Amino acid sequence: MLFNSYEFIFVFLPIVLFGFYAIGSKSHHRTAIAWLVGASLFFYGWWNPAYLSIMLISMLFNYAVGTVLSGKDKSKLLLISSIVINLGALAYYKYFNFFIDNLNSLASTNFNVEKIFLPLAISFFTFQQIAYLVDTYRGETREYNFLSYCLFVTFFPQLIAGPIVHHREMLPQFAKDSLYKLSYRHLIIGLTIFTLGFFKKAVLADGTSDYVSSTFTLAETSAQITFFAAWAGSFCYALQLYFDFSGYSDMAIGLARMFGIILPMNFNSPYKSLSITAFWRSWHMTLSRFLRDYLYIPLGGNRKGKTRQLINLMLTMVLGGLWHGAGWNFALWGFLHGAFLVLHNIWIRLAQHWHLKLNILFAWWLTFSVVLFAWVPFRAETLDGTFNLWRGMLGINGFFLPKWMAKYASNSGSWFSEHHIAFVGIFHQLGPVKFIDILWFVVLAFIIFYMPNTQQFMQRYRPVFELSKMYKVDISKISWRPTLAWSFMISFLFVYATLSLTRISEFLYFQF
Amino acid sequence: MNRHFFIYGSRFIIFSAFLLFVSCLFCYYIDPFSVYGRVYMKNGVEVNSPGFTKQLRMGKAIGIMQRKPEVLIMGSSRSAFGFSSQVTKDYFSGQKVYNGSLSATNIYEVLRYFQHSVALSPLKQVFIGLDFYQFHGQISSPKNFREERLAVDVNNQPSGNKVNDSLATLLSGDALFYSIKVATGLCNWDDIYLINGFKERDDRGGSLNSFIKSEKAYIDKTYTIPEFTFRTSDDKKNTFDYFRQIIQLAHEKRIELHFFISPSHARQWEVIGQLGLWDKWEYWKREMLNITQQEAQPYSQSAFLIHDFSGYSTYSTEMVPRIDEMRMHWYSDSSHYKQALGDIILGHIINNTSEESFGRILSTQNINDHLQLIRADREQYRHSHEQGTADIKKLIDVRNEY
Repeated sequence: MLFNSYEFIFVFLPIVLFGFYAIGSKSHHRTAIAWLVGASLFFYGWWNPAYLSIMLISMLFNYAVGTVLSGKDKSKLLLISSIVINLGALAYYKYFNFFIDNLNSLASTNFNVEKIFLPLAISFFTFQQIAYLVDTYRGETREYNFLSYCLFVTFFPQLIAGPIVHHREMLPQFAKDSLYKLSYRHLIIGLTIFTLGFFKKAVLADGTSDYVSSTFTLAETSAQITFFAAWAGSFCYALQLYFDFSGYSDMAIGLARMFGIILPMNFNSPYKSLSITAFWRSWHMTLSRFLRDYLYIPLGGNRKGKTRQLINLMLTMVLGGLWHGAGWNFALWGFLHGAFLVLHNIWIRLAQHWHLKLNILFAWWLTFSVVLFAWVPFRAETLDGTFNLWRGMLGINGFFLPKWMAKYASNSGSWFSEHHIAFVGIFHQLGPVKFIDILWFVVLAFIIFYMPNTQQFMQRYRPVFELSKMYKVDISKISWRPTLAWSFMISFLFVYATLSLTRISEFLYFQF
Repeated sequence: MNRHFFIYGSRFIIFSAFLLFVSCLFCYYIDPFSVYGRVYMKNGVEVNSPGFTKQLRMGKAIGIMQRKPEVLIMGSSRSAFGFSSQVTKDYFSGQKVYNGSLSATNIYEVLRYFQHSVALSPLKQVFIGLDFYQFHGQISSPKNFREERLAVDVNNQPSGNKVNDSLATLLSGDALFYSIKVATGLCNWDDIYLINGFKERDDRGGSLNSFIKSEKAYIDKTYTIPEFTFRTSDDKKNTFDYFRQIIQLAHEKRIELHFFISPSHARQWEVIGQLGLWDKWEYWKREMLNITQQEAQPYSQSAFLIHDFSGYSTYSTEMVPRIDEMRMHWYSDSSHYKQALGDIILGHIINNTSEESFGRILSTQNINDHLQLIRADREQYRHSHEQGTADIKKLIDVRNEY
């Protein structure tokens, strides 16, 4: 069931909320938790009931191992074996086909393996549970009951695409008595955050999809994408992905808040970043946090010398790329970001040494440009498509310029054609581009680059954990409050988004 | 403090519910996609709302369900635009006629709408316009084609998972947008369909500009991206399999099926030729003929006939005016024929007649000669229409360059 669907918003959610508070208000806390677990399993099973068994087995296994690890006999062997089993399951479902395909092409073998379908959200619930096991082994967890553990893993707002939550953030919240009593405050704050995310997803993100698909579909053909079309395609995709994923995260955060649960921040205006390091501190923040705590630091982090730190960075990013999907494109995306981070790290050292400082505008432009460049393999279907678009972005495929400029070039026609320059309209390859569409993208760009983000609007009411990480802006005059004006505005956004539901498209992040 | 939130929440719910309710009511009253039975009148003729044109696949699926035709015309936009409602009704007086043709359709969609119609209507005769591009296996159905909307699945079993279009037509931004446009008169009433699925009129285009625009689309995309193949994108099927399924179902249900290859303009065949697709084009005709013959045998029925209106005739070689103010009589562009020509070809199909080089009924006996004749006619056309041939070459060169 999609968050942005009629059945979820008008049937599932009201029933689950009502049931939870009806049960919880009568002090049947365990039953209320069981109700939420049941609802979450139903939500998960809606797509494919067969996936349920995989998640249930994973949950039982990890809870059992966690129980043993939390006892007196802390066996490192058990921890390692359980992590290997978790990663083995993930590798089987997510990477086995990829592995066999590559083996066949490299070794000219002919292994024929049936297509293994990826259980939804396996990357998310596997990672959350590995973190739980590691922390249990370290003695950093309390003893949690099975029901609470189940809710930690299955809690439907964050189950499918995060934010990736940490047991330290979640499990203590389930233990609070106040959680089970209906709070209009939580309900309304949650509803508002949900609506902002819903609008971002259903209206802003889905409104860009046509241009994105036309560019990336064209990239997979023999057509040579020219300079402006290539950059425009990547820019549209950057907008689409941001509104889609951050909108989804807002919806998840809002939904959890309706049940009184606060989730961690996942996006913090990443496209405003002035460096690639800052970008990774504000894009999919819970994944970055996980990779830092459970991969980068265990690899040695920055404790084993400068060179080793850069290697660790690169390794973390390549594996982070592969976490998103089994494909060379994702590895390439991770590698690129690893390389950018390494370069930035080197730059920081040089800048400190030579007292250099980049112009802010240039720093922003450079960061955003390399992010756009790197989004290409993330979205393209194949490496060929990626290279086609990259050639376009680098100007190798030529330039299409506005038709009206042709009159200035009439005397040098052959020079222009030799240099692959034609006056057919800059977005000629993307089909007819209407003025209203350009205006739409300008509005989206304005929202991304200048407007406060959801957390900033909601900052008075602690929308997420780790608010201190938020960019500091003084928007106290326009920040959200339960006023008449805001109620009308949020209602309007809700209705607008609801009316946009007919073009239902799945969240881009579901495949991860 | 909690009280503030309670009041805010109450306002939110009341205001949202009110807006949604009013929007829903308004869309139902205006019926912008003509799915709730509201009929508009234009010049004394019953027509669908202009929004119907934008949601053609939904509108025609529902139209077939509501009108339960006995005679059905199917195919692409060529068949959608090319027949006049009045003349067709005259041919089939007393019978319910519906034009279920869809723009930019492929043969799979034709099959699916045929199955849908068979499941819902007392069909007696079906006329299917065949176009080469419909058999390009890599062309996927448009986004607004939805399997679940149709009465049966591809195996012709009742589809349990029916799409409820009520939400899309009452509670959607598109519905509200079109309702407002219809109510305020801002929509385009020139491009509308009659309530029996026919296009109201076809006086658009018919100049060199419209020809070039259409040919460019075929050259840049339809025939070439991706490379033309009869294999479907999952490589599991052949588009002729869908054609075969149509024939099997018609034999099974004893529906009289008439195929015709659309009479596009000679410049369209020049596009196919210069793109190097001529052999595939000929193979396409041969294969369709084979399939009609093969599939008739198990049912001990006569093979369905294919009238070939493609090729070179006095109609298809009509001069394309290079002056924009002039308009052609038979063609809107090199792909679409006008209703004047559609009425003639319908007469030929119904009466099993043909003119020389126009509407020949394909048979295993004449197919080789027929194709040879078209090849020879093409050579002649290229000599006599050098400028038209050069137009096409230029479009292809531009495409190859970029």
